[in-house]
Amino acid sequence: MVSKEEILEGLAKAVIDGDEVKSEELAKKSLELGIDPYEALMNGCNKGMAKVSDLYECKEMFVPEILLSADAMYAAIDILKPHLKVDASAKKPAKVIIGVAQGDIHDIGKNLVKMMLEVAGFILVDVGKDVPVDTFVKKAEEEDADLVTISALMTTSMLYMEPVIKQLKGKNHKAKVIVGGAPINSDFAKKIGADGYGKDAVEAVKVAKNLIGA
Amino acid sequence: MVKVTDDVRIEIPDSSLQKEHRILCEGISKKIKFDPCLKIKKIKIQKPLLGDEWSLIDLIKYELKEKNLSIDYLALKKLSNKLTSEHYIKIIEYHNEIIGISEIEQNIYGIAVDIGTTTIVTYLMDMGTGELVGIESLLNPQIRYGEDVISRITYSLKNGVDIPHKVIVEGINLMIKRLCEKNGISSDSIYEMTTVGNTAMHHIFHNINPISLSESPFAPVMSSSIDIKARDLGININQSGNIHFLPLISGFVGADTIGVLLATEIYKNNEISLAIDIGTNGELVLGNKDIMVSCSCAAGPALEGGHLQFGMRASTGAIETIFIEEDTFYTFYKTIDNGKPRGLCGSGIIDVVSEMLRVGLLDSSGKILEHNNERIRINPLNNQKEYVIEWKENTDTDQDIVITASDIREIQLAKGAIMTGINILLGKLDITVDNLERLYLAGAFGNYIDIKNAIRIGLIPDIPLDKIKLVGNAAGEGAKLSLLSKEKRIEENNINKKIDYIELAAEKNFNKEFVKSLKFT
Repeated sequence: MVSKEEILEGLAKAVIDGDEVKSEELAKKSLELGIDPYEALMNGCNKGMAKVSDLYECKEMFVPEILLSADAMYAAIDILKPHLKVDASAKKPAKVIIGVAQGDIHDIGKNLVKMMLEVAGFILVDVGKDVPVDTFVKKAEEEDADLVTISALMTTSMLYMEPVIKQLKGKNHKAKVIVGGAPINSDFAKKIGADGYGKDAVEAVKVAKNLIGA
Repeated sequence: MVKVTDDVRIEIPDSSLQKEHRILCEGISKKIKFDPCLKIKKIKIQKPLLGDEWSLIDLIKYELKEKNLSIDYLALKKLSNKLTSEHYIKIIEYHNEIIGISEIEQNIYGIAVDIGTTTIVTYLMDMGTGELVGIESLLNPQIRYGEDVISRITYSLKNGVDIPHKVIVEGINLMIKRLCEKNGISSDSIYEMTTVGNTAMHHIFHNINPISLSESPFAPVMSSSIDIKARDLGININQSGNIHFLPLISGFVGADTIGVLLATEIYKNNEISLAIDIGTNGELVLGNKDIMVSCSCAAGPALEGGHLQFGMRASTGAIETIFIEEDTFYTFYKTIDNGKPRGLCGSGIIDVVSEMLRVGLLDSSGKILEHNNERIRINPLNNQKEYVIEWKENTDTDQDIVITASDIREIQLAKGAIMTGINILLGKLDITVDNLERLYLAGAFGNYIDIKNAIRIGLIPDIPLDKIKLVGNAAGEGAKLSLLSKEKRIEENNINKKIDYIELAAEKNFNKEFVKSLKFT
C-alpha cells in the first residue's frame, strides 16, 4: 500500500521529470485512495512546478524540459479538476489577457508564460500573436481583465506596448500591465509605464501574483 | 544614454582596433569569363572639321558605331576639354550611357562592397583586367545604433534613416580613400561599385526607411537590383559612376544571400545543396537548379561571442580552439596572437561546448553536470553552475574565465534557431539530411570553426565532411562576380525570382521544431 506522502511526492517528481504518463497515473491513484484532490494539486503538482521554476531560474532546466513539465502538470490537473470541491467563498481567480505585440509572430515565450500562469491558478485569455493595440484594450474591457501581459521578441514590436498601457490608463481600466520578452528590460518597462516586468516565465508569475495581491 | 550600473567590458569598434580584428575578406574565387557590364572602349577621336555639322558627341558615337548612346551630364560637362585635338581616349560606358571619358593611359577601376551588419569589406578591382588590386575592411560604423538588424531598424523607426545612412556612406568612402591612397589611384578612376548586404542594410544604404521590415509580413520596399549614380548617394567614386546593388529575396534574406548563390552556383547544379551563411543573422538556401527555398534564422550574437559572460570578438587574447582533458577537466587552448586569454571568440565557444559534451560536463539537454572537481562550481550570486576554463592568474582579466549555465542556454538558442531553419527547409522539399549532396559554409564562421565540433553541438547537419565546402566570404565574392561578369549580373535577377522565401516563425511546426532543435544531440 502506498502512502499519501508517497503519492504526493510522486506527483511532484513526475512534474519535475516531465513524465506525463506517471503524473496521470498518480493523479488517478490519489483519487482512488481518497486523497483530497486539492491537496494532491497543491502539495503534489504545484510543489513540483515550484521546483521546476527554481531549476529554470538557475538554468538547470530549459524550455524543452519546462514544456514537458507543464504537460505532466496539465495531465494531472485534467484528472483532478472534476473532483475539486467548488468553494463559493473562495476568491475568484484573476483573469489575464495574454498576447504578442503587433508586428511580432514569435510566441514560444508567450506560450510558456501562459502555461505558467495557468498552472499558478490564473484564468488566461490568449489573444494570440501579432495583436493590434486596440485588440488588447478591447479584450481587457470585454473580459474585465485584472492583468494584461504583452510579449515581444523584436525591438520594433516593443514600441506597440506603450500605446496599450496609455489607452488602458486613459480609460481608467483596472487591469495592470506586465511586459516581457528578450529585448525588454525593467528600465524599458518602467519608462513605458508598465506595472510589471518579468525577465522570464518564472518571474512573470511572481510579478503577476504580486500585482494581484495573491 | 546608457548608464553603467555594473562591471562592463567595453569593445571599441573604431578603426584603431580594427586592425587587430580578424575579418574574413577572402572568398572562393570562381573562374568566370571577364566580361563586365561596365564597358571600356578605346577610340581615336578626330577634331571636327569646320563645315561638318557634327557635334563632339556625334563624333564619339560614330567612332563607337553606336547610335543610341546617351551621355551623363557630368561626363558631358567634362567633354569640352577632352577633345581639343586629335587623340586616343577611353570611353566608359554603362547601359548605353557614356559615364566617363578618360585619358588612354588611365586605368579604370571598380569596387565590390559587402555591407555586413558587423563588418564592411571593400574589394578594389582593375576593370581592364578583372584582377583584384586591394582589400579594405571596416567594422560597420552603424554598430553604435545597435548590434543587430532589428535594432538598426528600430533606430531608423524612431530617429529616421538619415543618420545611419550617412554613417554607412562615410564608412564606405573612408575605405575608398584608403584603397586609393594605398594603390596610388584617383577615386575618379573608379566607375562602378557593386554592393551586397542584407535587406535592412540595403534600405539604409539607399536612405530608404526600413520601416516595412519592422512588422509582419516584413515586406521590403523593393527587391530587384538597383542602379544609382554615385553622386546621388554621395559615394566618392567617379560622380558619374554607377552604384549597383544586387537584388533582394525578402525582408530578411538579402543581396548578401544572392551573392552567396552567385559564388556557389547552387541554382545551376543538379546536386541538392544547402548554403549556410552564419553571422548575426543566419541565412539559408536549400535546393538545386529546379527548386530553391530560403529562410533567415535569428541566431543572435551568441555564436560571435555576444551576450556571453566571457564572449568576445576574434581579437588578441581570444581563445579560438580548446581541448578539455577527460576526468581532470583541465583545458588546453590556443588564443589569437598567443595573447594571455581574455575570453572566447566564436570558434572557441563552439569548441568548448562540444568538448564539454564529449567529456561529460554537459548533457544533451544542455545541463552542466555535477562532478567532484573545483572547475565546476556554483556561482553564489545567481545559483548557476559554471565551468572554469582558466583561473584568473593565468588570464589577462582579474577574473576566472568561465562558461556559465546561462551562456550554454544562449548558445542553445542560437544553434537551435539555425537548426530549426535547416529542418523546416528540408521539410519543404520533403527530404532529409541524408539527401544533402553538398553543404556550403559561408561567412567568417565557416573558415575558422572546427567543423566536427560544429556538427557535434548540432549547429550544422551531420553529413560526411567531404560534402562540406568552406566558401569564405561568398557574399563579397558574389559582389565581385556581379562587377566582373555581365552574365552573372543577368543571372542575379533571375535567381531572386526562383527562390521561395519561408517565414520560419509563421510555419505551423516552427515552435515544435525550435524546441526540438534546442537539444544537443
